[in-house]
Amino acid sequence: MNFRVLAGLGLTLALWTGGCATMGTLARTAPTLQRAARITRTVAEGFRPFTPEEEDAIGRSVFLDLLARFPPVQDDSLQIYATSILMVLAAHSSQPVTFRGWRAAVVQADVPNAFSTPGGYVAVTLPLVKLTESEDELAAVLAHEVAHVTLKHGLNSVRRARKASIVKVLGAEFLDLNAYQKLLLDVATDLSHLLLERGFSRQEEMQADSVAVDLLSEAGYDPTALIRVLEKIADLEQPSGPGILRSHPPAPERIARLQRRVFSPVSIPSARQERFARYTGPYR
Amino acid sequence: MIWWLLALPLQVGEVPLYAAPSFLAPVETVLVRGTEVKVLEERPGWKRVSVPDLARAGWIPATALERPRLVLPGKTGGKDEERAVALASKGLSTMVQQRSRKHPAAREALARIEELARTALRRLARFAEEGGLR
Repeated sequence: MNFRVLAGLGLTLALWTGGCATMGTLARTAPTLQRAARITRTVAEGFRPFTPEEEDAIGRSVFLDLLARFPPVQDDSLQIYATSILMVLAAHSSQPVTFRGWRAAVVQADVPNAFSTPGGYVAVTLPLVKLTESEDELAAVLAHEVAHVTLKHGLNSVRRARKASIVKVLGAEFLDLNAYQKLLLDVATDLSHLLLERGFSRQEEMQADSVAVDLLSEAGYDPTALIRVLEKIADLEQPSGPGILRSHPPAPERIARLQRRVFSPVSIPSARQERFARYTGPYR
Repeated sequence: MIWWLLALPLQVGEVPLYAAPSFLAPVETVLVRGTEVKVLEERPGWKRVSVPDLARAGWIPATALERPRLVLPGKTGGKDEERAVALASKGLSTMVQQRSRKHPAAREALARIEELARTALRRLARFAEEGGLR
């Protein structure tokens, strides 16, 4: 949502409803401008971004729903490993600081998939970890999820759907605590549905891929690892494949888009591959 | 300006205290919301702070000290906004608590994930160096 456009609309609306500015007297101008300022503020603040704490509360609630459905794998070393990769990537993102910090969990599930919620909570299923063949490929999966968080894809989608109530509750003169909590719970419920059932739009997935390869490059990972992961996913999407990433669009289109980009070769230290084998080996 | 004399409370839930102004620098400790810090030095995006209660100093991202904006039309700034922020914060934590009660196993799982994340944070500088990351 473009705040400047909204603010401009508010000003235009106020001037229009307050009478023609060129015909007004000075006495009429001051109240008109005050009214313009008030309406501008209301419109803009009705669409104010969620604060980091609000993002965290929404994201944390949705993450709890996810963990209830997909419990974490009981392997501290693997969890710390995935979290470390996530933290390195997030350090290069546009949102290195979240309200509580970035969190990752490898979770149990039947099919390969990954999710992220506002505030920096990321889950990757064990089947998807098993699908990756290097730390760089696992990093590619996590980078894609970091991108969804920093681009605020989930929140923006829900905000569009809940526009009227957001304006009413967040734009009110006084905070109605019950309405405020209900709104954020509704947002969290919508977001759970979006992540688990509907998925992001094709455009949002492409956008997340594009940001992900930048994050991988900046952190020192091989950005082409994302293409390799998508190729594996494309194989799974074949009718004979064992499972699908239900919440993501077809991989071939995403691969084609990424292959148009030029990437510099990256040298990968042996220690990186060795630790990948150490932490993920027990599941192969 | 006497900003360097004032103790400012952290505005985020958790933030690491780094040994240098970098997200991959060694982590001295993890600070929690409300901890009061004094700003000693500023660099783009970072502040070097002392933590009187812990008798420690280090770097935190500048955003960790930014007050949240929860501006309400006609009631902007000052005590009204402070009250609104406090009320909203209480509402948010109640909301998460309700969700936690609904999923007790998930709540425990998340607590464990957060504990492991703090471990990852403390080892991150070494993890990055060993893996040739930046």
